[in-house]
Order: sequence, then C-alpha cells, then structure tokens
Amino acid sequence: MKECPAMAKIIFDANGWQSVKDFETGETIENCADKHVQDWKKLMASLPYPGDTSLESIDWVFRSARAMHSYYDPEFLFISIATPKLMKTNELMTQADIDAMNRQVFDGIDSFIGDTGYEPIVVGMGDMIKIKEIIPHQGLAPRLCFTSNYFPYAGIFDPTDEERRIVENMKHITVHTKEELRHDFPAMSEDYASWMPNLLLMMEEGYTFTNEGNRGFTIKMLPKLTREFPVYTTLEEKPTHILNIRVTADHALDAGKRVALIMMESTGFEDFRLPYTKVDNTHEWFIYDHGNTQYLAAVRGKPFYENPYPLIPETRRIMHHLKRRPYSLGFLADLPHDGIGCRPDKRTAAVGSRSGITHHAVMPDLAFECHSRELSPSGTLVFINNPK
Amino acid sequence: MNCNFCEFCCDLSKGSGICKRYKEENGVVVECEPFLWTAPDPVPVETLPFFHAVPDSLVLRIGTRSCNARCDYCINSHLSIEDDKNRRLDYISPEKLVQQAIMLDARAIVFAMNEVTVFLPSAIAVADAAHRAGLMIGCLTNGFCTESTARLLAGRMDFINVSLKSSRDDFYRSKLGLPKVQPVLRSIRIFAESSHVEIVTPLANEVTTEVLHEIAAFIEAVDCRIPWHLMRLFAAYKRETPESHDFDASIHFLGEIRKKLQFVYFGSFPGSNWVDTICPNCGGKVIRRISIGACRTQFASSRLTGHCCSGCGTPIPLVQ
Repeated sequence: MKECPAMAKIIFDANGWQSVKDFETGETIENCADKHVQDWKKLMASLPYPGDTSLESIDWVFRSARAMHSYYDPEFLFISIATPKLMKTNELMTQADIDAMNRQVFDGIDSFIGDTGYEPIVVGMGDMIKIKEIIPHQGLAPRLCFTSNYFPYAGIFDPTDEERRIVENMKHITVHTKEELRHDFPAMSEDYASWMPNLLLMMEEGYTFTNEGNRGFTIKMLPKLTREFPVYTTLEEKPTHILNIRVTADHALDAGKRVALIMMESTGFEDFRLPYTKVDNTHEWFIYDHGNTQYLAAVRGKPFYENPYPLIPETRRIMHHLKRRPYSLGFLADLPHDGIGCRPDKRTAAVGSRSGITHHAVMPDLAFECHSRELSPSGTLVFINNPK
Repeated sequence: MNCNFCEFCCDLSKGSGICKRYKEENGVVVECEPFLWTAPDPVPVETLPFFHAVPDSLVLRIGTRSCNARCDYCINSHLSIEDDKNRRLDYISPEKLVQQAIMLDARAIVFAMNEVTVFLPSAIAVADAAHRAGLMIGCLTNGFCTESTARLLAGRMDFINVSLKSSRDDFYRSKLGLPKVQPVLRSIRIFAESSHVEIVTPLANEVTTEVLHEIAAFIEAVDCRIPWHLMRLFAAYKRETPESHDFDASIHFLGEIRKKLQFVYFGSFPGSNWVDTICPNCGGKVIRRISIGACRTQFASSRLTGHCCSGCGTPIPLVQ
C-alpha cells in the first residue's frame, strides 16, 4: 500500500474561481502545470454541483462517474450517493417523491454499469425511519457530542457526577462506559480509546436527543441503526458482513475484473430495487452507523475501532488536529493508507456526493466530489494523488 | 406601551411586536420565552466569523428564534423567519450556560444564530453571568436597534459582528424588510466607541461595486482598522438558485480597498486566498487561516508577539 505522497493536491472549484492546494499543508500552489490539474480544472468547470438538496445531484453523480471513467479508465471506481439521505432527512417527501428518487438512482446505476461494464457491488446503507420521540436532554446540551451525519450514538466526555446520574435515569438509550468498550473490544488501541467518550449512548430505534440538523434545520427522518443491509453484486463471491465488502472487491480485482463499489445512503431493504443478499452490519453489540463508520468499514475491511476517525468527534480536541491536512475534517493523525484506492497495482478513482469521506476513506489515485459544508454547496473538489 | 429594543419600537398593546418575542407585563417589556435556547454548539470562533476576537479558540454558539428583519437570502430563515412550530427550545439558565461553556473549554459565548435584539434581556443576563466567571461574550447583529440598545450592547459585549448588508435604503426596504440603513450605521458608530467590532457584507447581486465603495467609505470614516468580511452568498430562503458571482470583480475591488481599509477579507468559499490577516505596515501574514467552505474558516498559524506583528511590531487590533 502506498502512503499519501507529500505533494498530493486538491483543486477547488467554487463556481467561478479555482484554486490548487497542497493536500498536506493547505497552502496554495501557484501556476501548477501538472497535466491532471489542467485537465481537471476544465472538467470540473463543466460539472457544477447542483446542491445537496437538489434531485439533480443524483444525475450529477453519474455524469461525474462517466467523466472519471472516460478520463482515467479506473480499474476500481468508488461512487458515493448521498442525495437520498440529505433529501429524506430534511424534507417531508411523499412516498411518490421517494419512489421517483429511487427510480432515478437505480436507473442511473443500471445505465452507468451497462455502458461501462464494471462489476458492480451496490450497497444500500440502510433505511430511514420517522422520529418517534425526542429524548429530553435534561440540560446536557451542549455537552452531548454526536456521531457525524446524524445521531444514532451520542457521547459525553469527562462527565460530572450529576451528568452521570441524569444519563443513568434516561429512557430509550443504552449506556456503554469506556471501560465496557475496552472490555468488549480488547483489540481497541489505547489511542482510539482515548478518543472515545466516557459515556457512549446508543439510541433505541426512532429516538433522538435532537431534531436539529446542520445549521438548525429541523430533521424529519433519521437513518436507522440497521443490523443488516442489502447488497447487490454480479460477482460470484457475495459479501456476508460489512467487513467482507473490501475482501470481495479485492478478490475481484485480483482476478483482473474491473469493480465499481457504489454506496447509497438512506437506502435499505424497502427501497432497494435490485436482487440482494443480506449483509451483517454489526460487531458484537455495536452497529455500524450510517455514514463515516460504514464507509470506512466497507472500503478498509477493518472494525470501527481501527478507524482513523473518531466515532464521536469532540470539537475541542478535533480543532487542534486540523492544522495538518486542513481539508481533512476531523481525521486523526493518519489518513487511511490501506483504503482500497491505495492498491499500487490498480488504477483507482472515486466520485460522489458525500463530501470529504469520498476521497478520505478510499484514498484513490483520483477523486472528484462535491464540496459542501452544512448543506451549503460551495462547489466541487478534485483530489490528485499520483495517478498512474 | 412601545418596545424600545429595536428601531421598529412596536406597540405591545397590539401584540408581541414584529419579532413576536416581547410582551408588556406590569408596565415592563418582558420576553415571551426567556432563557429558551436553540442550537448550543461549540464552534471555532473563526466560523462566525470573528477573525480578530479570541483567535484559535472554541466558543459556545447559541441562539433563540425569530428576527426583526426578513432578509430574502437569510441562511437561518428556518430559525429566524419561518420557524418550525415543532422546534423545541430548551431552558438553560445563564449560570448553567456559563458552566457548560467553561466545561467545553470555550473562551466565550456568542449569540450567533439569530438577531440578539429579539432576546436582549436574556442575552444581557448571560453576558453578566459570563463576565462574573471570566468568560467573554460576543454577538452577531443586524444593527437595526435603538440607540439605547446599541449602547447597552456596546457596554456588555466584548465583540460584536454587524451585518451591514448595503448602503442603500431601497435594498434594506425591498430585500431585508427594514425601512432604512441609518440606524445600522448609527449602531456601528456606537459599538466602535467601546467594543470590538467586525462587519460582514454578504455579496448579493444588488451589492454592486459602487455600493461596496460607499460601505468602505463609511467604515473608513468610523475606523479604518475595523475588520470587514465580504462573504459570497449562498442560495437560501427566497433565493433558491445560487447567484453567479463575479470573482474577478471582487478580487479587483479587494486590491483597491485594502489600500484604504487595513483588514478586509473575502470568504465563504473553499480555498479562499483572502482570509489571512496581513500586517498593514510590513505586509507580512500575521495570522494564516484556511477557508474550508461555507462559512467555515479555521485558524492555521500566527506570527504575533502579543498583539503586535512579529516582523515589524505594528499593533494588530485583537481581543484576546
């Protein structure tokens, strides 16, 4: 596996202005003559991102995937489709709207795979559910920290005795102390454990501490903490566990096949329109939550406690980790250098509408993704990591 | 009885005012929902944005609901204009809020989700509790408040960010639901007398280069050392599609205006090269920042000795 080289680059396109940055330092690279940089500046200008809450973002993903395929012809292509979650979470969609969106997603997959000939591994990351009840936080906000991309887990760091008492008496949550986590997952490293909250709170299905999403939007639906999710593949080997997805893809690549791993957010058994096998999404009592944890598990094939990203990011600590690779929000000291995109023997690429994690998790040769923060579309990003 | 907090001075005998947040009780103006908060969240201060107040610090961002303005591009319209009745606000006493901010290692509490004038008594009570505990207090405001409110805020807030959205009354009337800009200009002058002030101007299409020059002339007349943030506008509320932005024109304007105003920034898009603090004397970068996109900017490094440029010793206006 290759380390991320010091001169990996990022290009930002802010819809009318472009800038090239050193991936490690965030410093501007003036007058970069790199051919890939010049080529992608033109490509990104022709593929402006429609926005997180626009249905056009689904087509944008497939147009971008085609552009990547034409440009680089990767042997492994990762595609993230975040639009369904972003739409379902924040909008009150009718079932007809949801059906139409699902058709658009699956028609896009069908057409893309048909035209490019990849062996697909299509992952539905799980269903959405309506909020049953908001758990009164009894004065714990803003001490509660949450998993990225919504709230199936919460955590409290360094709780006071009063906070412990409040948590002990709360309904609709299961509490795991850090000591229990160390006991249940003995392979967890000291470093990872140091990033875990002292109290990890796991919500019962449909319960949440807050319906305030990014920027205070009222959340209408939540991603379900799902014990199983659907996977479709044309490969003979079928993954049975989330950590096997990587193995399945590796075996196919080893056999000389070209593989597209497509991960669709907020799509579970209800909405999945392809024949599927059920894949286990658990590790002991732990359920991989919808978002970064699932993405990292699928592309690395390693359990959550080996992730280079904390389960519950604590803002005050994360802040001081942003000095290096400043555009890698919340990642710890090392980015994954064992992502499937790091294979030295294959041309690898990623595209998608999940900002950040698309290139961070996979660490491919080339990536093209939207650049959004808190649902504000800021443009697009290209990651150039020594293409072959 | 009329409310005297914002410049609308609503008659409370006819209801709870334009912001619907106040009522008359025994001859006193009181809040309808005191100490009920939304969205308490620890964030880096640069995201709000404050570039010259407690740099590289975490602050506790908090707000309530409603506003006295109706900006057609409000990025927080879901809180301030079209408030969802299902939104739950949570009671947190000033003392508890301060205690939580301290436990989170926050340097300050900042009222940053909606207009501070619509929850003024709660804000002042929190400010007093924070100061007693050695914490700082900041706020974001549209500045459309009465003179007495401006003086009250100037005396209690350690740092204030005023959104000066145009220099023209017609823009204030037609796009923001506020009758005129003059009270905002008056507030900025008052704030600048005794507090640290930064100014934000969202770059809506109507904010032409001519308007920007008018705003710049006003800032220069008050104090050329006031930091001014030009922000690219996002599609939000009634402006559903992203507005095209003429980056070349903005970059040219920046070059011109930095000769008159010492600290002008241009951000709210990823990778911006105009979020660093440049020493007005020697031209060295005294604070380097990274623009992540949206409103998120983060501190990277500094070359300061105390409040002064390490290169030439020139004082830089900073609240620390």
